[in-house]
Amino acid sequence: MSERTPIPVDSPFEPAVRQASTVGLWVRTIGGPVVWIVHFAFVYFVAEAACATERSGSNGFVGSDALVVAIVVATVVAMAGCGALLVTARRADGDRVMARIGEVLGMGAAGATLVTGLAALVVGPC
Amino acid sequence: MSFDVAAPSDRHGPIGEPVVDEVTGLLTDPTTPVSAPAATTEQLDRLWDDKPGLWGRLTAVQNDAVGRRMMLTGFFFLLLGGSVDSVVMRLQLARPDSEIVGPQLYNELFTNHGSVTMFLVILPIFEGFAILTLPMLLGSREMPFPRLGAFAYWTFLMGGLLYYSSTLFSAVPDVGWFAYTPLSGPQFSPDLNVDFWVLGLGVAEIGAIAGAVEIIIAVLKLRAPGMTLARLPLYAWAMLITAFMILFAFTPLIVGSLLLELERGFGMHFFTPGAGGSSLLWQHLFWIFGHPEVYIQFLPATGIVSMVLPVMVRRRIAGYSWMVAAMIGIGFLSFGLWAHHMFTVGLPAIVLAFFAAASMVIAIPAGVQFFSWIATIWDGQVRWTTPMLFVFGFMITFVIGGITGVMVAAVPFDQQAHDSYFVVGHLHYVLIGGVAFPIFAGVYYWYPKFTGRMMSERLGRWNFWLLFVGVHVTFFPMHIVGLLGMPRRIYTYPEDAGWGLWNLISSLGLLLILPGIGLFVLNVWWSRKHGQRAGANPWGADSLEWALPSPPPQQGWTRLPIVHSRHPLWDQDELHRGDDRHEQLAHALGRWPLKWRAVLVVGTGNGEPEEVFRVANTSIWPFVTALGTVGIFASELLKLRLGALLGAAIVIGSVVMWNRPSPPLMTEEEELAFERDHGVPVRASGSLVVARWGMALAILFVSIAFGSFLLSYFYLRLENPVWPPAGVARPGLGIAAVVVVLFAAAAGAVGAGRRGILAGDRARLVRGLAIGSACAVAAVALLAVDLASADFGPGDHAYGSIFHTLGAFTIVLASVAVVMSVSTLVYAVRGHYSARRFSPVDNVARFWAATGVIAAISITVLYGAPYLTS
Repeated sequence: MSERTPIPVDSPFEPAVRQASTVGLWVRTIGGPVVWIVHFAFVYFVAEAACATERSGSNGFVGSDALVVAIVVATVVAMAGCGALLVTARRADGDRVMARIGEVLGMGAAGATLVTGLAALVVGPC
Repeated sequence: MSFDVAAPSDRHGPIGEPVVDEVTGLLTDPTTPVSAPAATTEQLDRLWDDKPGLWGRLTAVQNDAVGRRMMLTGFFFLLLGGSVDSVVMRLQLARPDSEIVGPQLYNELFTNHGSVTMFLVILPIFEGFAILTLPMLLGSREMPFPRLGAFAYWTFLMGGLLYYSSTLFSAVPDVGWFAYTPLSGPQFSPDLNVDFWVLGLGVAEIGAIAGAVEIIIAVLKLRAPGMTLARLPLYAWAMLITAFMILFAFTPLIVGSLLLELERGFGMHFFTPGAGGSSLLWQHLFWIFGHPEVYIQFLPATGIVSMVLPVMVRRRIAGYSWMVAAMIGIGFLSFGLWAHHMFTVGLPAIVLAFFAAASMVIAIPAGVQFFSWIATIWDGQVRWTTPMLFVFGFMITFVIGGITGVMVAAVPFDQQAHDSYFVVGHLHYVLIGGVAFPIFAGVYYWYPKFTGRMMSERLGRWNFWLLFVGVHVTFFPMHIVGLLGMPRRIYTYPEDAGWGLWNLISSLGLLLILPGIGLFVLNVWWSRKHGQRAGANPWGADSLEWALPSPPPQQGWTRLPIVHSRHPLWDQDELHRGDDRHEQLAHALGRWPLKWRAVLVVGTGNGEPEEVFRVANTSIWPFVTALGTVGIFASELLKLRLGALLGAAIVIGSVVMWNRPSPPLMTEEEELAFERDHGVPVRASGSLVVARWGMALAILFVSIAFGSFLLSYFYLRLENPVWPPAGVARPGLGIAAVVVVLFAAAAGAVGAGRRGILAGDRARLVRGLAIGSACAVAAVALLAVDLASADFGPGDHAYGSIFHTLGAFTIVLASVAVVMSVSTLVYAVRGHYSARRFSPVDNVARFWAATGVIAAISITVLYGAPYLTS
């Protein structure tokens, strides 16, 4: 077996060159936008559900006040998530360009999340 | 005949005459590196070439052929649908009370114009462009799944032709490119017009997704050694993000189209309010696709601009990381904008606010891109070549379209401007400025690489100025006439409306656009034979493809480059120098193997070599599969249900043949010998890494489709206060539990079989596949019987429609998994797999795991939701 072979090539199990996992890299890079879109989908669906049931004359999936509270809480949680990702991106070793991309996206996602969540305070529910 | 000012006649001769390696004034440093010549170039060129003749054309899979065909087909549909329709519409609207065409034909014209340009023109042009250029740009020899690329092309072509065949039946779609329900439903559109729209474009949508899978894996895995993510050319980033967007956007549309066709052809009720459906559900499903579609077209254009502009100003792009972040940001944000097309349908105020906010926020990353380009220009010195002129035209025009986009993002303004000509003006500024001009820039820029000839600069300048002036004369007045109150999609207007002058100006603008397009076609045709001969790098560019000869050999890179920089041709003196391991590997792959097509796979993040595999060769099966696919859709169009079943049988049979194992052309010992020398596994029987990525994306596609069905289910649930409808019993839970257990057992058995072959135990593999298939067949049969014996039918109400549709989706998904596991079982019995060559087994096991999870969720929703949400 050559010194250059990173793992034993006669291993019966998945004889592939083991590459470092890129999961962490992707989480740091696009974690912010993922948080934004999850937050966006959550507040949209909750609002749609609340307003649809209100329209139909039933008591509502959640009340108007509860809807606003749910959106504000979701926004705070999402922004905390963006902040955590930002810190992780800054502390991570490795490619600085990808880290910078992650930082920019994390900050942008936090801003976009805030703008989305503020709608609950500025515009009335349903 | 010559169209160039300073083009000596000796530069126009046939091959063999002197070649110019630079365009005057462009190249400050003519010593950019080129790819190393190798003794094996001709052998590899023959190995990678497609076969000649008609059979060769039908079986061609090489990225050059597929890419060119997709682009040419896109341009063909542009001339057919984009140009002719618009000319007739502008002639009609030039004067008030015009009767050149009637309202019905006008409806058909604007429907065709929108549908063709959005589905059949820009998308195949960009995907074809990517398939053509990415391997050279990334330092690879091919795309990962050449047969999938060929399938993408054939489905684009056949889908487009199926759509256009509506003219033969006098059934041209006439409900707009968005086909809103209930207008597109069976009550108001009982003829075949809408079926042509749904089914013809549905085939093309499948092609778009197939192409996207190719592009994602090519960018992430098929690159030169050393090309890390941070060294990716911006065009590759743009196409990577675009391809993911295609996957996420087109899948909901396919699901929506399926639901619409089920409503039209099978009497179901998803969009009929009287039966518990919702017409807004269609709008949601359509615009979840429709708005990202704009950015699906815009992002590749920004990628092209980001390649052309720095070369033309001889400066690196300013703010590379900001530019990548902006592209990713646009990709995500574009999925939070869809309801801004629905501001006037009565959505709750808070929902309007969410979408208005996202619609305005997306201007920020778009602005970042523009400031990056402006900073790059500021720092450099502009050479006003034709590609740069089109970049300039893009920047001016798109900024105007972007600003009007921010205007319509504001709810109060949009509610005034909605469905007016203001929106028509806005979208044409975005799509022509933001998409068409960069396409022209890209063609002028890369044409020399693929033909070995420069396009005429003189014709190019005329081409640009006619188009630039013509576009603004045509589309700017539309903003004014829209604000004056002219609604869109009207076939004529009265004289006293006061819109006549602006419409006349718009129509006159077309007199500039048409010769502009004509000159472009002339230039492409003329320059192919008479253009100035181009060397390897006539623009003095920085990216890898310009190190190859113009035109390049079939395999592109005989000897793979080794990348140390984001601008290898500007920063590296030599393209084949690197660390010893990379050098030896690149050198070895230039000489070996010469009897099968070898492609290098690298690590996603670090660009380190990960695998050498045999990429698929020519095959007729992608063509046959596309024929079967279009056969299903065409049969449904004609309500020939047996024909649809035949089409499905052809698809299943041809996919099995497409993927059947072929002789690996190399023994496991020979593979191991190379592996010992170079430390990189060789897989002459097909890749493990790329196949895993392909399966992951297939699972992602299925998951998005499933998510779209779930969205539809719960949307209908919200629209119906009583669920299930009064008089309908809740489904029984006993059979559901048995079905879930059987699916879990199937997934577990196949997984156990996979572990068996990894341990070298083929009998365990056979046992696992057999037990898994049997469990799955039992589960499918039980579920089918339960659906068939329900006391309500799919056509009774919305609940019945979505219940049976989601159930049928689960059955179809599980049936696909059964076909995969049975065909793998057959090959396993024949002794095809080993602990080293087990990629198909790996794929089946992963697909079964996903199927098990999706089936469990699906059955839980179907059987549990009526209890949980009442």
